[in-house]
Amino acid sequence: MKCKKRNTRQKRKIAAIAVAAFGIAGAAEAFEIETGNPDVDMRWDNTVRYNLGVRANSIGNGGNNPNFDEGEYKFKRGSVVTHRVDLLSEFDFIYRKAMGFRVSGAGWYDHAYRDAVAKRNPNLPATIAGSYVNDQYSSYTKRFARGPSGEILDAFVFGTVNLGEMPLSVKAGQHTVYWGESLLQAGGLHGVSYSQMPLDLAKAFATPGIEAKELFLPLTNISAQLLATNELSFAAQYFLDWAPTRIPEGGTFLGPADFLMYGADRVSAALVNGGVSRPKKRGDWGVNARWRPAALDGTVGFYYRNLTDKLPSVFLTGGQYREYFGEDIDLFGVSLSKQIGGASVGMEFSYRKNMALNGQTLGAVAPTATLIGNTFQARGNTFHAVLNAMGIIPQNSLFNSANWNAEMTFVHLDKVTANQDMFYGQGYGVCNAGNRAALGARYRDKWDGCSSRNAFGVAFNFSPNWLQVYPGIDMSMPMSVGYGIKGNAPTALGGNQGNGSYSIGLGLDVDARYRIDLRYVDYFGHSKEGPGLVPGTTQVTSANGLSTNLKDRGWVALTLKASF
Amino acid sequence: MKIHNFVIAAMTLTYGALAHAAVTAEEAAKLGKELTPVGAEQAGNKEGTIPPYTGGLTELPASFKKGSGIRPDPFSNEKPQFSIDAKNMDKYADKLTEGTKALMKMHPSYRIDVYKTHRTAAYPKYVLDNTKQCAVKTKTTNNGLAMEGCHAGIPFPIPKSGYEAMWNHLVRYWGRAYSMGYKSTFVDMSGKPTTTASGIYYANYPYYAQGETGTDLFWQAKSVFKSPARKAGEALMLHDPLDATMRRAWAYLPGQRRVKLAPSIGHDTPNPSTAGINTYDDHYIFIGSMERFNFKLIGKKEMYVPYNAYKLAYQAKGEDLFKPNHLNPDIVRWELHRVWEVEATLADGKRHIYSKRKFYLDEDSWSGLASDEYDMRGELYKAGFAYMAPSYDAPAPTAETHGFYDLISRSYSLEKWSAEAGGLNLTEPMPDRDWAPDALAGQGIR
Repeated sequence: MKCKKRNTRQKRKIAAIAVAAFGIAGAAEAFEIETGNPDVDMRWDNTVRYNLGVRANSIGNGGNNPNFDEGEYKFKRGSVVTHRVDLLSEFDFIYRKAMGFRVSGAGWYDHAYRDAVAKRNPNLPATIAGSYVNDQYSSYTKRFARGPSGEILDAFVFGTVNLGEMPLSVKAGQHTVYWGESLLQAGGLHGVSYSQMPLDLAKAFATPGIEAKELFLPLTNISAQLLATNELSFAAQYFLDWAPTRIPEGGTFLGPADFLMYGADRVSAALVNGGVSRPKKRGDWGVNARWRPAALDGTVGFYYRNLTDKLPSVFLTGGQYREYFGEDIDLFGVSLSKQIGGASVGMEFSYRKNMALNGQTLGAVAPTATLIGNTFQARGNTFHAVLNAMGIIPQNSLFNSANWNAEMTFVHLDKVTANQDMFYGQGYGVCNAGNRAALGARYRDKWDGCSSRNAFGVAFNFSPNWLQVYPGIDMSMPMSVGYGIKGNAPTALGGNQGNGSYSIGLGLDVDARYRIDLRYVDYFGHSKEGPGLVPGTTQVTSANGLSTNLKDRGWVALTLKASF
Repeated sequence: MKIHNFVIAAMTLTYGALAHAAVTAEEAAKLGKELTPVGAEQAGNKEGTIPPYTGGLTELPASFKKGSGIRPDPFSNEKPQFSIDAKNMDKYADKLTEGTKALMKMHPSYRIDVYKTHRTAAYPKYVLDNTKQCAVKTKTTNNGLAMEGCHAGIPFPIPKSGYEAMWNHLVRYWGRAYSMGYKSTFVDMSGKPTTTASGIYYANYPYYAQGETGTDLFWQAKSVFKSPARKAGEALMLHDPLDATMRRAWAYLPGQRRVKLAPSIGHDTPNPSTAGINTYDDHYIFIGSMERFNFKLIGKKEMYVPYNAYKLAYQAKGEDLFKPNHLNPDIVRWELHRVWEVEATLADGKRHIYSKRKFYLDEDSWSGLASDEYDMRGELYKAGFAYMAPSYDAPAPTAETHGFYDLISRSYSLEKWSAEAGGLNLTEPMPDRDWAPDALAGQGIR
């Protein structure tokens, strides 16, 4: 009772914070800061976003597996799964339109995680240890799931000089540059921008309505672009930092497995999280050339990057599991963008040498494996293709206009070049059907996530818009779906057959300043099930694709966003 | 009868498909005599309400500060001669656009204040010289949708078709290059104004490069958005070639710091900068490709149109200007001018939200100054106006600020309004390299 009272009071408090934030948003017009000096442009913009999410699906069989139960049991159907305020603040200083600096930062607090505890399936034997010591979130999980916390995103200086007639633009500091033509998440995972920057997928999953600029986690680097002629430009980038991509942490609502990733303490009492095996921080680099010959009526790009993976493999070494990241991957790419029949069409083809291939999550290091850099990952050469298009459908009897985009991805494993026993792929290691008898229960197949030689995926977004449905209000209905059509990608998060997610929502734009969205998000995928630990129950034993584990976690999200 | 029709149809086809010079040398000889160098009637009207053309306004008002971007009203001491509203509109009906009349009928508060006519459109000498050459050389191709044979001049000073008149409008002379701070405002049916976009706009007209010929592009434009806050840092670049069916557009995406080819923004796609009240081809009364309509030249007539609207374009304050239902009539200056009337009807097999459009093009500047748009039922849907305020310092007859009244939703827009955003500065053209799409990425910091 006492506890309930406190909840109500806290709910009121956060509601008051949200209202106050929107009140400020309504009153302030603080974007451009007048200095009286025509050489100086200063801007300070803030975006406040509030998300309220409610679980729509009941706890499923995933919760009967002690490795998947904490995400499943954290919130039951009808519970508030997120009750979160995010702030994005951006400040730009530009001198004579040619040099300056930019700083941006994000802050967050999620009241739904106020207790910061992991919740296990109460029906499972209590002797099975939870993923967190004493079921208390680690400081890492607390920071990113609950807050209040924040971080600096951009922090860089920039300048443009003319080398003869060629403008050279340079940026130095924490910032993001994104190369190529890929549009959506899957495109990014198979495109020339692969691991060009870490992504905050944890935040992206937890806060619908996130802007692209918050999705990327900027790293310290120096980037430059030279416009050699009006048809030809060159760009280059050198990194002085490295950080991994974030995914939703185990024990949080959208954490696909309890022991992943950086926040969880352990799989079991005997198997603890050894943490990130950090690759070296400097040395990643890349160059590109973009050429727009008149005859082509399009832009063709050529890319070379030497990169360190931002997506990990998780396997066992010395009684611990750790997250390993492949270093020294070569990427050769070519892109093309062209307008075809009113649509903007983009494509990318790339070849990665020494690419880190999927390993069996929590698999042991093979006795034959050799250390490459600081990891035992299998390495190989992979071919990736991305094809996308976006367009606008004009007014008809159904809507005023509609934006759409579509992206197809394709990946092909050319060959495995090192540590082939570590490759979690059909024909190799535990996925080797020819060795099935000897492997016995250890044998794994495609529906356990074993990689195939080829994988093909699609994603599609469609959003019809209705203008001025009420004075000052535009309405839209964003719909999206993405899934793996055939095959399991040999590279991390590259897509799994039958695995994906979809969402449908309704959005209101008010006075070009406020945005209100209501949407339903759900996940799907193929999993294997078997008898549960508790007699008479069924549990998920393995899932094809990380987010397959989220298939009982459909949720409804209300997002309020204001920029001022 | 059937054969007769067939012959006419065949002739029409041949005529339409044939590229042909606009006028004969004898006809072109009228330019600079009965006709002004750009093809307007030199003389005033017989009532004396339109004066003869004397070269336009090239004298700068004493209060004009060079480089300020804000142009003082050279006629600020003038008083309206009379006003027209719902009560007396019948008397002037033949000189009002259908949209103007509809606004008068709809809103008792709507009126137009008519001032003395000043034919202020003036041109640099090279534009006039080239126009003379163009008159006999320019032709349309691709069934009127493209144009060739003219550089840095009005292509068809003596137009023979709707397409030719519209080409004059599309490549009208507004200066060689400029940048302007702008705001776009939308006033909804409840009367509440919202700034739907603001930013800096860069315009370049390679077509008007002095001494050069053979350019493919007549217009390059770049908008760097400052608001709404969520669009701050976004940029859009457009290239329109002399075959306007080949428009290309690129967008700079903040956060990603890269440039993507934008899907074709044209025709009747709602322009988000105007809360969707304007279509993309409503920009400047009409811009882009003519492929969805058949354009017919109706003729020339005297009309009341916004003109010398310096007060609106450069001096007005938003709180005074944006009134419920319509712009504050006290601030909009109207004058009697001769305009070319062009009627566009939806072509067979094409689609657009408009079934018919009427364009009124200024005889002195070729800028579209007013338009009427009809919906698919044939009902009057929108009334468009551009607010001519010549850059007398260029000189160039600029009509950047424009807007549309949606007569069905009873809301309206005003685009590219610079009074509160720093004005319009004539500049040297940016180097070609700055118009390369990748330049957007180098220059963007968001």
